[in-house]
Amino acid sequence: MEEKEARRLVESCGDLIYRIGVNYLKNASDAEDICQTVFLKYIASDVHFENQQHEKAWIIRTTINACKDVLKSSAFKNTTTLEELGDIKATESHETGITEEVMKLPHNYRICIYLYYYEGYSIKEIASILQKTELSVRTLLSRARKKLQLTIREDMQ
Amino acid sequence: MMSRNAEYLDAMANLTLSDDAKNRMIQRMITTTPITSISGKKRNNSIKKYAVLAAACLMTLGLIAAAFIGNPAKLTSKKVDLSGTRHFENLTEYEKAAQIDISAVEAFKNGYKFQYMYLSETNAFDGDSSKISKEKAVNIHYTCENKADLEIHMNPVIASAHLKDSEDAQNATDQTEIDGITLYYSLNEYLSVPASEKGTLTNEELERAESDNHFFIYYGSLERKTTYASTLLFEMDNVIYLLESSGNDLTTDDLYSMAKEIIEHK
Repeated sequence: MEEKEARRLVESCGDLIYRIGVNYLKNASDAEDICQTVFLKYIASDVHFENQQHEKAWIIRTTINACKDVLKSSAFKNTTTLEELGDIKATESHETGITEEVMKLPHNYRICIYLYYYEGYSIKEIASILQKTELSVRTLLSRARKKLQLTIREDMQ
Repeated sequence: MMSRNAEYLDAMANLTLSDDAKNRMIQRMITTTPITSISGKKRNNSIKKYAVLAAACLMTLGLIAAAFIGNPAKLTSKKVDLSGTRHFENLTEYEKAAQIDISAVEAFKNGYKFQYMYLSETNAFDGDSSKISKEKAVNIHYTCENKADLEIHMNPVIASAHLKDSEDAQNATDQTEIDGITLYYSLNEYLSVPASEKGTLTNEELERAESDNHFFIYYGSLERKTTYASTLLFEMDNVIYLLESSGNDLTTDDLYSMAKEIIEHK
């Protein structure tokens, strides 16, 4: 791969993959491994992307699948202590510790919240990416929102 | 007071890859490229690679060439990096995947420490584009503060083509023996040139690429630059070890010492 294209890909998608990896695996170094895995899959794939949105959706799906593979593997350490959260570079409100609260949720809640609130995807789009029904996504979002005390996005009211 | 939504967005916005991590990934990605014709000699061609990891792929191809062809023939190969891990304890799993039994240390006495490990696969094709070989290798990346990174690539011996008979061994600039194992050292120079500047290479540079076994030209970099890499090769128990580091941070003796630790660790 040309250096210019590699740089474009890493700069435009690296943090996205990393955040999904952290949300899934709750561990910064495993999330970095996921980044490497997804980029290599990108190089090895024959997928032709119609536009950037198509490319981004492919990357998100591939990242989630890679995270699921890690969760299934015997080498993955399932215990994540609160001390490990310090490895994740994130600022937290000392009053509410929202990152800590996010990481206590099941991973499917975390990913829905992330795609909805941070990436700005609609429920329909999230359902397509995660291959779930819209009803499932709504339910996951509703439960996660209540636990985190997040408000519904204005554009979705 | 920040709303909960804003807090969440702020927290997620701060989850970012470091610049070092991004640069490492970029370098790995640009090494995953096809190699075009090699005729038993290291030739300058359209290899788009980062210099530090170049020797590993050429070495694998050279070993495949030695194993499968009595006479020089058009041989191509594609090296692909597979899964990776930051956990040294996964070594056994990677050995099984590559079907080789290797010796590896987690930390060297000179301060180099394990950072990550990955599996790679090289597929070789003959002149008719038929696949003639598919070999997996284990690769370990080490770092040391204020020094260039080191990678160790471990490939199985292919079809009894042993290192001592290879061009890499024969063209080594220095060699020594430890516990009956011969170590071959080389210092390679890499000239990286943007694809658009291919026509700017001088006759001297092109001739040198043909005749100097330790000079390589690569296309596809962002800027024209010259880099160096030290390599050390040895064979132990049907596994070929290639230690590779950019620049001049590691001397011949440094690499010999590290190889000694690997050999004695077995």
